[in-house]
Amino acid sequence: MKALQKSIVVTAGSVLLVSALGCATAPVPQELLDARSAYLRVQSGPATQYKPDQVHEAKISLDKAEQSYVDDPGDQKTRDLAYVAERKAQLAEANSSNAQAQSAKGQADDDAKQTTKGQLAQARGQLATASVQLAGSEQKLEVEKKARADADKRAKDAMDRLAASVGAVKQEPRGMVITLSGSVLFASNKDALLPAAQERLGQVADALKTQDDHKIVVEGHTDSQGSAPSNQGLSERRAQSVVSFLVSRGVPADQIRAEGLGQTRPVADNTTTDGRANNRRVEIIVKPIETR
Amino acid sequence: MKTIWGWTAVGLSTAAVMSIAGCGGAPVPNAKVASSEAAIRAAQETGGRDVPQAALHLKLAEEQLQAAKALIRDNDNKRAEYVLMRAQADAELAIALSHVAKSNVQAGAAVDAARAVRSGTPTP
Repeated sequence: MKALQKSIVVTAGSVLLVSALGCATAPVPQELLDARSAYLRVQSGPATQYKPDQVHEAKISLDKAEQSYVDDPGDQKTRDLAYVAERKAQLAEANSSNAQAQSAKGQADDDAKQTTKGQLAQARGQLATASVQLAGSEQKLEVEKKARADADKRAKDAMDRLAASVGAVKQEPRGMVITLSGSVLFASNKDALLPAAQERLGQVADALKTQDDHKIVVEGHTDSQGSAPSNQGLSERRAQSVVSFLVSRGVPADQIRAEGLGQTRPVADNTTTDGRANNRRVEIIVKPIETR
Repeated sequence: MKTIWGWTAVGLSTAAVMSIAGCGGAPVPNAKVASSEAAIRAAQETGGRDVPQAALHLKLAEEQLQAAKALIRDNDNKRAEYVLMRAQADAELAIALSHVAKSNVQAGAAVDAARAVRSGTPTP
């Protein structure tokens, strides 16, 4: 509305000027024409917002020049006043541009500051989340570590108990080897487990159940009496009997297998009674599974 | 006798008035010369010569100051006063235009910096 009113005033002023021109004998000097157009431009631009006082001053200067033209159209003074009026309009325009540029700079600075602040807050948030996650995973790790230590201890305790009762547990490069005497497990030339053997093997099964992630091989061995093929068959059947029993007592079937080695791996002299007794044996080898 | 003296007085005062009129009828505009010179100096100091638009108005102001000084030497003080007004107006415009140029450069840099901050957002 204000701008509209202003433009009406300007239009009315122009009409008056034209009528004044009609009366004037001398033509309107170029300086005055320039001053009028400069003022019109400024008066409809952003300077009215940014530098209203300077726009007002430009108007006063223009009015002076117009008055001088009315008073004495041919006077040099009119040209000078109009020249000054044009500069005043340009000054208002320039100072307005300056204010606009400074305001843009201020906005950009604020914008940068806000963005930085936002980024900082975001980074802080992420840091806090990461810290919480880290604390959580550390705690979880601690719990897992403890569970593992407990399991290891249980397994070791089981083996220690077994060693105490069975008396023949050795740590060898091929794994942990539990050796059971053949005479304790089987009657001569038979592959059925003796009742006394079942108690011992029950202890072995209990210990083996605690050994997670292990591969268990049950090896049957004989002395050198009798033919090698029959010894081979006997050792296989005996190893299989032990495996079957251990599986029936809860040792996972996919972790255990039987192997018959006959008379091929003596551990003692086959010419003596004691030596032969030692060679008749079942070995249970427990190895950690290397590739998980 | 009295009338002769009276006429003489009239004649003398007329001559005095005429001599003042001969001097341009106006005092030397010293204050306007000083303020124009100050405005021109300020325009030079704000780097008016380095900004093309400002340099144009600074040059006009300097030329008009010289023209005004020549007019004062010729005893045309009245005309000199108006030429000094022109010089002053041009010098002031030159100052404003060099400020605009500086502010525009600063604003551009600030906008670029803000954009850089925005686009340089460290992505997590």
